[in-house]
Amino acid sequence: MTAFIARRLAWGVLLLLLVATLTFFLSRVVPADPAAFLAGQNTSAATVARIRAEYGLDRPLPVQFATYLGGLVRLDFGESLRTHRPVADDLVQFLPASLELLIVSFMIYVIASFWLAVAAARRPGGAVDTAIRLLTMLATGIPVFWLGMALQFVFFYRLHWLPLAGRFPLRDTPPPVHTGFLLADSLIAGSLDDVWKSLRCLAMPALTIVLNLLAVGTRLSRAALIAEFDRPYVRTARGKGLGPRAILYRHVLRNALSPVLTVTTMQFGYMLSWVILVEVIFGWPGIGLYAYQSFEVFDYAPVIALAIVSTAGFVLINLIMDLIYPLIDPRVRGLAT
Amino acid sequence: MILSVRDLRIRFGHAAAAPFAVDGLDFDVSAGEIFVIIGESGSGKSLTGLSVLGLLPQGAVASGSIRFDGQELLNQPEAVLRPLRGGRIGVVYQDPLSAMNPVWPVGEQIAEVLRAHGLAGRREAARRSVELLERVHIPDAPRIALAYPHEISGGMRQRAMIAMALACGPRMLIADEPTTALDVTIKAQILELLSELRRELALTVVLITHDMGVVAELADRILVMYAGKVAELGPAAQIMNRPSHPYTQALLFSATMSEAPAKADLPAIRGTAPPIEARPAGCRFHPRCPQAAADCREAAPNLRRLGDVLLACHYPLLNGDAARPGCAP
Amino acid sequence: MSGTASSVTAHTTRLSSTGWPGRVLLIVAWIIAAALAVFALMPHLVAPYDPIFLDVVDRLRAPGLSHPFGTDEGGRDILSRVIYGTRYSLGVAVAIVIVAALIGILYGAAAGMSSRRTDDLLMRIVDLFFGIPALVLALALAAAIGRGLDTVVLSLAVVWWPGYARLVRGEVLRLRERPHVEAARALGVGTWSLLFRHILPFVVQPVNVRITTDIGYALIAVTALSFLGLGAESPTPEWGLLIRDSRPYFGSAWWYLVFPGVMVMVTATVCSIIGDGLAGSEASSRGA
Repeated sequence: MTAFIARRLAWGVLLLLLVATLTFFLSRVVPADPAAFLAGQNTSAATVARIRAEYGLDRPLPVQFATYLGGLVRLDFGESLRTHRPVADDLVQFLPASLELLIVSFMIYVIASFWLAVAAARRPGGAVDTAIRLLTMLATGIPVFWLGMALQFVFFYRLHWLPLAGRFPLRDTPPPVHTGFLLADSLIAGSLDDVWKSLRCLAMPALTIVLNLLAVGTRLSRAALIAEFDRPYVRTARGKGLGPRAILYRHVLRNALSPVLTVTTMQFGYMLSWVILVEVIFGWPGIGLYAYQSFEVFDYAPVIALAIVSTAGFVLINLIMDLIYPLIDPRVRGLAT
Repeated sequence: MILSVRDLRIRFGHAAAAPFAVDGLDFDVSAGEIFVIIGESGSGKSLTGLSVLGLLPQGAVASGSIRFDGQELLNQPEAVLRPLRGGRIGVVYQDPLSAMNPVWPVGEQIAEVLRAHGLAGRREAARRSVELLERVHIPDAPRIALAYPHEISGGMRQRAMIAMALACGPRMLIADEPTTALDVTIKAQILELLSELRRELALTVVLITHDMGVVAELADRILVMYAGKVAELGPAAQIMNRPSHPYTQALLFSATMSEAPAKADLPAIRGTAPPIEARPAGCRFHPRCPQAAADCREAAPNLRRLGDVLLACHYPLLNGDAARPGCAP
Repeated sequence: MSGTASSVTAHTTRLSSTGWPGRVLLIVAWIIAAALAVFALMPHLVAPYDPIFLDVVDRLRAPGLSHPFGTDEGGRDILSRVIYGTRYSLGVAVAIVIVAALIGILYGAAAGMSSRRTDDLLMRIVDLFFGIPALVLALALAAAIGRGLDTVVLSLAVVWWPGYARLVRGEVLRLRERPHVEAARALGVGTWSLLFRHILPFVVQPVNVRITTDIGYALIAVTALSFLGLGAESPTPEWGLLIRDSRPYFGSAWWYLVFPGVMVMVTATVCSIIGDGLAGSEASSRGA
C-alpha cells in the first residue's frame, strides 16, 4: 500500500514538473526577449535591463530553470506586479473562496448526477431516460460562461431574485474571518442572516458549475449504470428472489460506484479548468479571478502559479480517489497493496 | 409432475414475423428426477430454463404455459414469481465468476437469499450460510464465507453458487450449464455433488447443457432440442444407447470424439446450427443431416411416439445404426 | 478535456440506432454544417452588413427587419458579425484539432510501432498530459507566449494531442496483428512502408470521427479563451469575444448575448451529431 501511494505521489510530482517545465520554457524560449515582454509595452531600455537583471534573465537557461524550480519547491511563486505581494500570500488569501465554491458545487453535482443517472437507468429508453439523454446532449454544447451570463440575465436582470455578482452584498459587513469559508464563518458568528446572504451570492455560480458538470457527468454515469444492469450477477440477484430496490441499491449501484467515481474524478479535473470562467463572470473573489485580473494587466506570475496549484489539486483528488477504489471494489485491493 | 411445460414459445419482440427462438415446446418433469435439456447454443435450451422463473432477457416475449406444482408461472407478475425464485426453485448459472456479485463476500451473497425470503435475521443468516457452504463440501467454510468470489477457485465458486441456490430448501434446481466454465476433474465433482443432493434432499434437477459427456451418468431423462424444437425426448438410458434421431447421434458422437483422440474420418456434426432468422424449411436439421431425404426438405416432421421415446424425425435411426454410428453416409 | 467524453461512452446509445428521428437529425446537422462552411469561406456573400463598420446611430437596436439579430454598442449588425465570426471561431477550432491530430498520429504511430518498453514510456508521458487542467494551462501558456489566436491554437493543441496519440496507438497495435500486415511483414516490407501503406490508411476513419466530435469541444475551449481575453482582439467578430463584449450591455440587450451563444451551441451540437453519425457508420463498416 505504501509503495502504491509512493508511486502515485511520484506521478503527481512528475505532473507538476511537466506543467512547470512547459510554462517555464515556453515563457523563456518562445518570446524573442522575455525581459521586454515582462516589462510590457512602452518601457525604456533601462527598465528592460533592470528587469533582466532582477529576474536573472541574463543568466544561462538551465540556471534560470533551476532557480525557478527551487523557488517552486519552497512555494515561492514570485511576486505579483499588481498587488506587490508574494503570489503565495495572495493565493492563501483567495483560495478559501474558490474552495467554498468548488466544494459546494461538487457536492450538489455528485448528488444530482447520481439521482438523475439512477432515474434514467431504471428504465432505459423510457420517458425519463429519453428526456435526460436529449437534455444532456444539448447541454454539452453550452459554453459555461454563456450559461453563467444567461442565468444572470434571468435571475438578476429579469426576476431580480439573486445578486448579479460577488461573494457577499457590498453594502453589508461580512462575518469575522475564521475559516475563510463564508458559510462556515457566518455559522460561527451565529448569524443565519449572513448564511442566507452568502447562500444567495453562491446560488448562481454554483448552479452554473453544477449544470455544466451535469451535462457530461449524467450521460457517463447513466451509461455506466446501464452497462452494470446487463451484467450476469444482476440476473443471479433476480433469480434469488430479490426485489428491484435491493437489486438496484445492494448490487448495481455498489458495482457502478467505481466507474462513476472515475467519471467524477474526470469531472473534477474539468471543473478545476472551468471554475476560472465562473469566477470571472460572477466576480467571485477566488484564485481564478485573482489570476484573471493579474493576466489583464500583464502580471503573469499569478497565472502560472494558478496552473501549478490547480494541477496540484488535481493530483491530490486523484490520490484520494485511488485510495477510495480499493474500499469499494475488493478486486482492486489485491492490486493496490 | 412437478413441472409441466405446454406449447412454450419465446421470441424477441412482438412483430408477427419475428421467429420463435423456442418454438412450441412440451415436456414434463417428475419430482425427484434429473431432467437434462441438451442442445447446441441457439437451440433455445437456456431460454427455456430462464423462462420458468421469468428471468428472460429484456425484449423476450413468451407464450404457452409453465406449471410448477400446479401453479402457472409463465408471464406472472413479479410479486408471484419473487417468492419462488431462490425459494422453491433455485437457479445455478454458468460461469460463477461473473454470475456472482464481485463486491460482496460469498457468505453474504448466500445469507442475502435467506434474508430476502424472510427465513432468517442478519446473524442467523450468516451462520446458516456457513452451514450451507459445508453442505456443498467446501472445506474451511467459515473462512470461505468471508472471501470474495475472485479470491476462490472456480470449483469453489460453483459450489458456493449451488449453496446459494439451496439456501431456502427449494424443491427444484435449475442448473444452466453449471460445468461449462470448469475443467474436467472439477466438472465431475460438481456433477457428483448435484447427484448427491438430488438423492439426499429429494431434489428435482433440471440440467441444461450442450455436453453429452455431462449427462451420461447423471440424467434420468433427456430432452434433445434443435433450433427451438424437440428433436427427441425420452429415458436417458435409451437415448444414450440407442438414439433414434440423427442429431442425437451426432451429439453423442462429438462427445465421444472430444474424449477419445479424434479419428479423422469420424463424421462430426457438419456445419453449425442455423441462425434463428435463417432456419431452413422442412426439418430444421436437414441441411446437416446425413440421412436427409426429399421430404425432409419439404415437411417438418411431427413429434411422434416410438416406444418410450418422443421423436421428430421422418427417418429415425434403427437400433442397429446407433451401435455403429460411423456407417452413416 | 480531450479525454473526458470518450472513455466511458461505450454504452451511450448511438443516434443512428434510434431510427428515423436520428436520421432526420443527422441530415439537418449536415445542412447546418454546409451553411457554416459557406459562412466561414465566403461570409461576404451571406452577411447583409460589414461586420466592422461603426454606426453609432443604430447602437443596441433590438432584432427587427433591418437587423434580424439586432446591433451591438457600436451599431454593428450582429447577424453579420456572427457570420463573419464563423471563420475565426470555427477556423481556429479546426486548426487546433488538426494540429493536435497530426502530433497525435505521429506520436501514437511511433509508440505503436516501437518496442514494448519504448511504447510503455511514451504512453506514460501521454498519461501525464491527461492530468493537466487544460484551460488553466492554456491560460498560463498564453501568459507565457503572449495573446492572440495563434497562441490559442498552440496552447490548446498542447493539451489536446494526447487523446489522438492514445487513439492512434491503440489502432496501430490492433492493426499490427491483422493478417494483411503480418503478410506484408513476412514479405520483408520495411517498418516505414508498413506503417504508411498498410496501417495508417486504416487509422484515418477512427481519427476522422474523433476530429469531428472534437471540433465542437475545441470550439467551446476557443470561445472560452477569447472570452477571457487571450484570443482574438476587438473588433474581430470572434464569437467568444462577442460574448465578452456583450457583458456591460446584455442586461438590457439580450440579443447581444443570445445570438453569438446560439452560434457556438448549434455548431458544437452539430459536430457531436455528425461525429456520432460517422462513428455509427464506422462501427457498421467494421461489422461491430
